[in-house]
Amino acid sequence: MPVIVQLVAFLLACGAGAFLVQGTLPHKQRAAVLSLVGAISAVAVVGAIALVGPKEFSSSKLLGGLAVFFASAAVFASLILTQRLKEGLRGTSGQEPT
Amino acid sequence: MTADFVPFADLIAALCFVLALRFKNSVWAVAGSVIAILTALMQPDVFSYTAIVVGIVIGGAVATVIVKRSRAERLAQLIPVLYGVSGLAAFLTATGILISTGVPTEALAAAGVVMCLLFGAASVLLAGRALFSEQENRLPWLGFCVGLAVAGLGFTMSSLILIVAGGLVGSACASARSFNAESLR
Repeated sequence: MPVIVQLVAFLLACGAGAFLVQGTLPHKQRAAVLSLVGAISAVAVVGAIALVGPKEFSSSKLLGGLAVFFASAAVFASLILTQRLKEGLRGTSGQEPT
Repeated sequence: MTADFVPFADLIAALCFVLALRFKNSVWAVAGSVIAILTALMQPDVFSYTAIVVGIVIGGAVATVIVKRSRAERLAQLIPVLYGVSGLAAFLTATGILISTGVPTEALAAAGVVMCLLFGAASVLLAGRALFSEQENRLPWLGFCVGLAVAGLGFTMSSLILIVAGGLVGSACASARSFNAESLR
């Protein structure tokens, strides 16, 4: 992939992230949104999978396996955590968090 | 599976993440993660599916048990752990790439490895401190570091989805900080 495409994609993503989250966070909902953002960051599991991929065993494959474990733990944890935090919001404030 | 398929799938996954942030809905995040993981599994040089699936299942089971068993008032404290674990995974992956292929020759990929190692280590340290000090103020910095670590990993592997996810996470957490500072005033 050309360097310029990667840099432009990064800058566009930075702009989109700042634009989408800015000014939309009442204080109580911040935890739920940050947990959701954590789910996105856990996509690092993609890199770990590519590292575990090869057939032959090596130390880098072991590191990749550990990374798969941690990253997938982060994926599941953040998704369940987001649900539980949203349920908590619904219980205390009585309004639908969107 | 041809390589032409990968940027297209990455684009759809990235779109799902943007929609997840837009609607604050984890269903889109699940869709994006599933597409990204399936795309990674379909790469031609990935063979050891057993190890990968075992890692995902054990990691998912441990995380599910921990989150389900935590008391409701302590849930917010799990967020720094979450970010720290993501940063640790990025750090480990970059270390593995360094061990297996050495320092990349292209400038952007080499910069990405350095970025990933630096910010990955920083995010693990920040997560540890946030865990014990119970201050929420470090959380935006933590998310910023994790985002840059993931983006660095993306530059190293020239993977579009990692670059986009890293940029989204880093800037979203940084702007959450500015809003929080206003609401405290």
